[in-house]
Amino acid sequence: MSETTISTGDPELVALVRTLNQDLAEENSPFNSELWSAMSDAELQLIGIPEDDGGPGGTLSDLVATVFECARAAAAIPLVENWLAQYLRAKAGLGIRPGVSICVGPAELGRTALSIDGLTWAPHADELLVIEGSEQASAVRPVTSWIADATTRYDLAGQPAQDVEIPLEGLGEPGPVAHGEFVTVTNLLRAAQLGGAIRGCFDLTRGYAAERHQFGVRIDSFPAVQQHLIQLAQAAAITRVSVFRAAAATEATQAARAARLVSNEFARVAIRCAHQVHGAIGMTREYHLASLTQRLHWWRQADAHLAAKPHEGQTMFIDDVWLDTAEAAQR
Amino acid sequence: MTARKGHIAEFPPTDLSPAELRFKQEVADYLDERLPVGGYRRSLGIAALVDAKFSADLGARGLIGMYLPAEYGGSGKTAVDRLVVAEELLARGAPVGYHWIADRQMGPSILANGTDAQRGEFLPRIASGELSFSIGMSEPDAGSDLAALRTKAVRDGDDWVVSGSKIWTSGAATATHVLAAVRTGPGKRDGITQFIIDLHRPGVRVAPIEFIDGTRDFCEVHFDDMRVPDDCRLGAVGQGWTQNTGELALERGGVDRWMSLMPLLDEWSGRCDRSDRAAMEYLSAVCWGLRGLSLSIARQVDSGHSPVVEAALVKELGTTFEQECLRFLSDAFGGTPKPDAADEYEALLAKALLIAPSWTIRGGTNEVLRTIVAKDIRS
Repeated sequence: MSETTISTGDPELVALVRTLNQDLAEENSPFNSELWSAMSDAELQLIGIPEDDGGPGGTLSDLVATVFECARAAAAIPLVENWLAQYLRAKAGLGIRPGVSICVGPAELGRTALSIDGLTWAPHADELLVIEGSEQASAVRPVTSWIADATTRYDLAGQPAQDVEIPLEGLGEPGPVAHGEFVTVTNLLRAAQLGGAIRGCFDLTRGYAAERHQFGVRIDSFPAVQQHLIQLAQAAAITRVSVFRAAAATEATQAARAARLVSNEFARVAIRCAHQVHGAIGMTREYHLASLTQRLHWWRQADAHLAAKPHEGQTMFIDDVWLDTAEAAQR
Repeated sequence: MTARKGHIAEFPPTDLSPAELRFKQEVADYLDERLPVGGYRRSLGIAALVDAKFSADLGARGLIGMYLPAEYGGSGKTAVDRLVVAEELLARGAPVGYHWIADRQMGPSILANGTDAQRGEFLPRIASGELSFSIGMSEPDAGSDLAALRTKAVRDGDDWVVSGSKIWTSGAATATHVLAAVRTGPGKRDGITQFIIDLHRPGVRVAPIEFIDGTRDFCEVHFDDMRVPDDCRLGAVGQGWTQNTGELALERGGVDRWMSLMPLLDEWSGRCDRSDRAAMEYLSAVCWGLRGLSLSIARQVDSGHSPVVEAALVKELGTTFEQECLRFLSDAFGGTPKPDAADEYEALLAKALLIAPSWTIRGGTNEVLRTIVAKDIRS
């Protein structure tokens, strides 16, 4: 690989993730436990966490590619949420832990218990990782027992959620967290999810428009329909190239934020265009499109509080458009 | 050149190497000196002021025709190197009007399709910035449907007699040459041949057309039974269409397709207030994303591919995005910018508002580009 080629993930790894998603696909299931088990058995859910921290190793590009492919398949697993929590644990010196860990916050810890309304993935969490801090994350505290409402709710993407109450005396010892790094990697992984699902929308819609016949011809014969397919192709192209360039620019928090902003914007385009081409069938829960577009909606807005106020050095100005991995590596 | 067998949504991501970054810095340092801030009139992207002296200086510096072999005045540099230079020039709104087309597509085309004599005659003078080329393609009845062109060339001994008219020929009034696509046979596509025509020879008249912003860069070019020697013919008879198609990846996939407003965005970005900050960040992020796509295309060209479909996708996206940028800039300005304002930013904004529709029209309308991309998606 030349010094200018940017990795899109180890090809064998990518092939494996794709195969698992294809073989273990489940429609309309809030949690694909078989896929999650298979990925956990292969330690794929922790790819990118260094071996020194107890993870399987692998590059950030490998992680991004894994996240991308799972999102492309609309996999109903807590991949990114668990990864972020495990990453914060490792960075805080707490090591990774088996099972599912889900972040809560950042939140200011008052004197009373911490209540979270509709925490996504709580029903399948073995641990909650409370991130302390208001505008800036300052510490992480694991907790293994909390009060969960009996009812499972479902979020915008159909993912399982619960109202939880975390008693403050149950919080573990705090470990440090670097807010900047946390925001960067969160932006990057959300961008990867969005990019993957946008690609999923493009693939699905392209196939549908080729198969569906009306007026005696494939509906992709009509320029008015082609317009939407083209926008989907553009959305898929720009988000994918952005997320892998951002993964390579690990020092450059601006790149991760830019990738997030690009993915957020083109997710909107993809949702609209994919639904428009599909017509009524795309508006049903039964057809696969909803699994993708509901996730796009959720991932777009997830951790929005982190994106809303860029922290120092994170804003991309016009000057930074020329930001480059090699340049970043020299910083 | 081979078409890249790949997925339209999978542009290989790439970034500049340390050597390319050093080259970029060298170019930036030179341009900082040659075009000091406030010391020249800024242009909007490739609709740039014609400045033969500037082009000659760039040529002397080795920054035009860089991809040409050394024997023809180049330094064997790559499409990525050219992108690097293009970025630095367009970010500053440099007056690149005189040499741009010659550098971007005539040089590569003459290198690929010309005889040794033609290469020797034209390439060094393209590299030095001495020659200025205009593109003689569109006609009153042949715009998007270029194959419908009617300007014809009839063989007569060692010469050809060219008759007909071209229109929308940017830069013809100041150019030294026009690369004209003319009909030499009946076949819609295999009856087209390219000729390198000296605009100062007898038999050709250039008539400027007043553009919406008052400039007269757009022209009609009339060939009145103009006699041109056969050694002006570029490539084989009937090969004009194929040769023209080969230029498209270069013409369409570059940074010129989304950088028209860069000087204004840069200035606005430096002084925008908190309420505009979110918009500025978003626009910057998309520019960064587009740059990733343009870089990938340049890298693909250097790998021997011909990413014509990819270039069409990026041009359509980029030029549409330019319209969105202009909306933000004009909303932020508030009020009516004056075309003759003493403040250059204001004058450029006024000009941009008027000429912006041309960005989605020139070099292949967005409708044509969409047709190209759709064909690939459907295949």
